[in-house]
Order: sequence, then structure tokens, then C-alpha cells
Amino acid sequence: MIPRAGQWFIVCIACFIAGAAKSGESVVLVTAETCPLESISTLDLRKAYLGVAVTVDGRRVRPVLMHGDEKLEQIFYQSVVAMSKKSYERRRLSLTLKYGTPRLAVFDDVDAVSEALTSEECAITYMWGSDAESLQGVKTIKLLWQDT
Amino acid sequence: MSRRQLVAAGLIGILAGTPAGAEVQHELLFFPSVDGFDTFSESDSSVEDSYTRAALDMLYSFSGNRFRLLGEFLWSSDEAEFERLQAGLRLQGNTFAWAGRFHAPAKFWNSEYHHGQFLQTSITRPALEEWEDDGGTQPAHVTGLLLESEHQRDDESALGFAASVGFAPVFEDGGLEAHELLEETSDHGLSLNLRVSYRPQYLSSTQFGIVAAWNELNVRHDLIPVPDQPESIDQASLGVFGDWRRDDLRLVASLVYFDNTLEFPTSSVDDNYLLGYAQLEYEANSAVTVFGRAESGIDQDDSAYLALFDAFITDRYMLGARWDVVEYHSLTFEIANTTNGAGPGSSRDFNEYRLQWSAVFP
Repeated sequence: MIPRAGQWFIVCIACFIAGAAKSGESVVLVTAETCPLESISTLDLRKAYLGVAVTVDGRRVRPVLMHGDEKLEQIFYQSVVAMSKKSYERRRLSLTLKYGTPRLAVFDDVDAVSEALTSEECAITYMWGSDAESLQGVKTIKLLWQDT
Repeated sequence: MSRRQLVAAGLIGILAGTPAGAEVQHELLFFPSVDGFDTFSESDSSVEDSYTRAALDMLYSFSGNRFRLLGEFLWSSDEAEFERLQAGLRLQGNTFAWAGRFHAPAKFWNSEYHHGQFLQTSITRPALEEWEDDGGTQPAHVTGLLLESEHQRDDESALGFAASVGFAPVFEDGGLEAHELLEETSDHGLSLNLRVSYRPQYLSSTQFGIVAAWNELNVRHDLIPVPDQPESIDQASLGVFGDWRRDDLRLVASLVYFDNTLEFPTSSVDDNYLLGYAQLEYEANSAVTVFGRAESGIDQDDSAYLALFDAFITDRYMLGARWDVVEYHSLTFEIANTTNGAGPGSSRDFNEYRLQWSAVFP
């Protein structure tokens, strides 16, 4: 039986979404090897990205945002801050407007963020696992998402 | 040392006091907006009015390890002034002590949105929360000291606290005039503000709380004295507020009781009323939000204090829709039935339409 056009459309969309993620990939949380941080709880990670000052093992965690990869951003909003992009951006703007809280640094290039991680004490960010493996001076401290 | 020199010395001291090598960050945000407003009334043609107003709110913040400087400058078709200019010191954790000109913490809406039009869903703010320049009857700007703190509890809830002491606005030309930061001499009385809030979930936006204030509003008389105008007004207020969110629904509401004493040369008048509003918002999808707000009160229609203001909105029933066209740009439409004027025989009922574009950069 030949599928109807609507069914083909659904199949195509499903393929597109599946293909958007790198097959078998993972998203991990990374920091510089020089940072003594070995792990961070999901709650502390969420707090840090929502503008709360978080200290783990006596070290202040400094979150950094990665933009430019839509799928990676979607995973961040769903798995890390658990809110829509719109709500998250509003919250960041609101903190700046209310208290002058500086917004988080944003990078859209893996090499640039790698440099930022190694130059700032205990800066953390999220990236594809394959990118993390290829970077020097960076270690993985948490698995955030796994393509199943 | 004059007050002007003291302020300058304080700011320089804070900037100079930032330790060498400290992490220093700057933020600069622009909140532009353009409003179109039109009104008509079938019963009273005198209320017919329309205007277009453009505004640019500029926010600058300087953040050192423990120091903060926050400036908010509003440049619009009507005015250009520093709305906020405050220098702060982090005492511990999330506790800040600020000095300068800031927004009165006893006004919930203002503490949430300040002048950042893009961040509030509706075009208008409730009359209860209105700025002094736009006919507000409760002080919105205070010059003095502000203590702000938020404490996270073991059960992941949080208690927030904000208290201030400073100069209250004066009453002049049918409205309140806030204290300017560098004003040399002052007729301004004392302003005390308090806000206590509770968040059931620290990371959630849902919160409830109380607001309280006491303001000594001195009257600055015109060259030609206006009959029946008081010499001073003592205003006490106590209220509750809530900002509740669940899935796509949001309810913002506040109820405030006012107790004013109007001091005349030979007598005093006690004046009490209640004002409140409730705004319900529904996020239909990631781009469109529909909303409505009801504003009213008890005894506000015959308040001697509210009658001093030219066109205080005593009732308003509004519906609106907001479309987030692209990221950081929105178009909003509002339609409302409004009643203004609190004095005897001065009540006017009309309909109004508004359209606004608002955005934030960068």
C-alpha cells in the first residue's frame, strides 16, 4: 500500500528530527582540567544557569552559554533549566533589570569556549560529547543527555 | 559637603573600592517602545483623546565582586530622566544594601518590571502601580537607602525581603513629584517601604507576599493657592500581592488598603479606600499570549485624596493580546472600558484602544 501524502510528511519530519541530533551522541557538562570540580548536582546546575550563585566544594561555579547549534540549545533548555527558551531569556533579562545581575557569557564556537573555560576558574558549559573528547585541557563532569 | 558632592564621592568611592583583579562586568540594555492610544466615549466627548508616544529605557549595570552600580535612564516623548541610579554592596549571599534613587519596594508590579516595557505582558500597568509622572497616587520613586535580601530555605522555598527609607515625593500641580537625586534642598517628607515575599519553589516565578508603606507627602503650593488643597498628606498602606503560574496560565494580582490623613490649616480629613487588580494571562503558544485585567476598589470613587489627582483611573476592564513577532520584539493590542476621576461629579467613563511595539536590545 502506498502511504498517503500526510503519512509521508510525518515520516519525513521524524527523520529530520532524528537526523538533527548527531547519531548516538551525548551532551556533557565540561570544565577546565585545572578546576577541582568533579561533579555537580542537577539542582545546583539549574540554579547556576538561572542566576543563583552556586558554590561546590568551595569553588564558585561560573556557567557559560553555548549558542549557534539549535539542537544543543534545545537539549540545554529541556535538560538543564527545564523551561522554554522564551521563559529562560525573560528570566535572564529580568535579573539584570531588577538587580543589575550580569548576564552569562555566550559563545557559539567550541574553540572559543574552550579558551574561556581554561582561562576562567571553574567555568562550566555544555557541549556535544564528541566535541568534549577532542578538546585539550577540558574534562567532562556530568552527562546531561544521551541519544537513545 | 553638599549632597551633590556626597553622591559623587560615594560613587567614586565604590568604583575605586573595587579590588584590583576583581571580576568586573558591565551590562547595557535598551528597551524601546512605541505606543499608540485612542479613546472615545458615547456619553462624554470631552474624554476623546489620542496620542503616539515613543520611549527608550536604557539600563546600565556595573558589577564587581561585591559592588554594583545600576542606572536606568528613560528618554521618551514626555520626559528624560534617571529613573534609578543606585549603588549597592553585597553584604552576604543574596543580600544587598543600596543607596541612591530606586523604585519603591512596596509597589509589586514596579519591582518586577521597572521601566522594561518589553518584559511586562500588557501595555498598561494597573492604576495602583502607576508611575508618579503618569498619575500614580502612591510613591514609586524614593531616594535613600534600600536593603534587599532573598533567603533560600531547606525545603527549596525562599523568603524575600526589601525595606527602604528615604525621601518621599511631594504633591504639586495635581500630581506627585518624586525626589530628584541631586536636589539640593528638599520639601520632601519621609518614605518607608516594606515588601516581604514567599516563593514556594525558589527557582519558580510563583510568589506571594505583603507590601506596606508609610509616606509623608508634603504639598508644594502654587504661586496662586488652590482652594481646598491640604498642606500635607500622611499616607499609610498595607496590601497583598500574588504572581501565580501554572503551565500556560499566569495570574498577577494585588490588593492594597490606603489610609490617608489630609492636613488642612484648621482641620484634618481621614480618607480610606481599597484598590486592587487581577490580570490573567494565557500563553496560547510560544508567540501569542492573551490576557485580561480587572481593576477596581472600594470607596475609591469618593476619596478626598484621589480627587486631588486630575484623572486617576478608578475602574478599568481590559482585554488584550500580545504577539512575540520575532525574538525580543513584540506587538501588543489592548481594549478597555475605563472610568477615571474620583471627585464628586468628575467621574468619566470611556473606551480606549492601544497598540504597542516593544523590544529589547542587544
